[in-house]
Amino acid sequence: MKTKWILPLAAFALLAVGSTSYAGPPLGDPAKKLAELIEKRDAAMAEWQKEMRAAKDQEAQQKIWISRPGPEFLAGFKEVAVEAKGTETAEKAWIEVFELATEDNKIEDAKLALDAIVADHVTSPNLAAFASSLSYAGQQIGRAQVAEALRTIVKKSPHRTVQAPALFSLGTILVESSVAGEKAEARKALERVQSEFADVKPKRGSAYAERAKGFLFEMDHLQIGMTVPDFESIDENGQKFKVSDYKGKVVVLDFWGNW
Amino acid sequence: MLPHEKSLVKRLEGKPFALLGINSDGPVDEVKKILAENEITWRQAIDEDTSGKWATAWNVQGWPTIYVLDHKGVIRFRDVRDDEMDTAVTKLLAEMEAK
Repeated sequence: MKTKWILPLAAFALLAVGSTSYAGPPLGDPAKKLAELIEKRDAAMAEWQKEMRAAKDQEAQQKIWISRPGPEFLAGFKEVAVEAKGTETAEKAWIEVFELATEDNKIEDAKLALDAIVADHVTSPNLAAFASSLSYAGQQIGRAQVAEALRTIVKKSPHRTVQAPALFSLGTILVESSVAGEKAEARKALERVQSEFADVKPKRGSAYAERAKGFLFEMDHLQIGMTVPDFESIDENGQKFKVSDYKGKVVVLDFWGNW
Repeated sequence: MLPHEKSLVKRLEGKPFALLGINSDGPVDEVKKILAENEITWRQAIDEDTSGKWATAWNVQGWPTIYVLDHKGVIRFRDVRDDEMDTAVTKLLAEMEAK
């Protein structure tokens, strides 16, 4: 009698490890299709990277650069997302669609993906990177629509790891807004990132609170008409100097790099 | 950018004007090489990389980012390049001389 329990228990344990918040079938048809698409895309990407590395010169590299794989997979991901509506598979597929669409400037597809993710998957724990990437999507998709999506994510997500990047992105998107009240909303969002989410870090780079501090500093001290804040640095000869050393002169400060 | 800045610096030699670079190319030796190669004569802050102390404190998100200050230390223009930078600097120098 005892042994009969082992198999179902083992299967259950496997399922529990593999699944996140969705309880759908582990490998239905759309899930299989998605896995295949990702595999094909990754293989194409690896092949492309190999070609890039093997390129003889910059000219050859530029030619290969243009053929970067990705756009040809968009339709497939979209099909899977629609077919598997509401499941974790759909969520993953929509995120792929969003990335490919923004990369390739397919605005309508990007909007479609954004709407679907917010409507069907807003409570998912796996939206941190997506929420963070929305910080750059305002100009492309439209500030109003992206801001509205972010407000919804902040309000409805039960996960601090998702709320923090969503608030941060909302703040950075509204900083330059001229719509009444939105600048104040940006400040409030960035201040909340600092006060309520100081512990949340992205996978790479500095904590959202640290980055929010920079945006708030720029709002408060680096606008046209403000007295420049002082800063001390070291020059190419190892000598210390400050911005205030140059009072009495017209000064151009040029943040640059030779890349 | 660079040729324009060079001619600006040359034209305004002896005037109450300074161009300061805040460089994110790397450690000082690397920057020195770049300065020599490109014949850049103006002072540089060595900020090491794009997440250097200065760039981080001032929330620099893109390069170049440019601030133009008047002689009182007030920020008057942002992200003006080439001809626009010339015009901005000339205007602020004229303002200064008028006082």
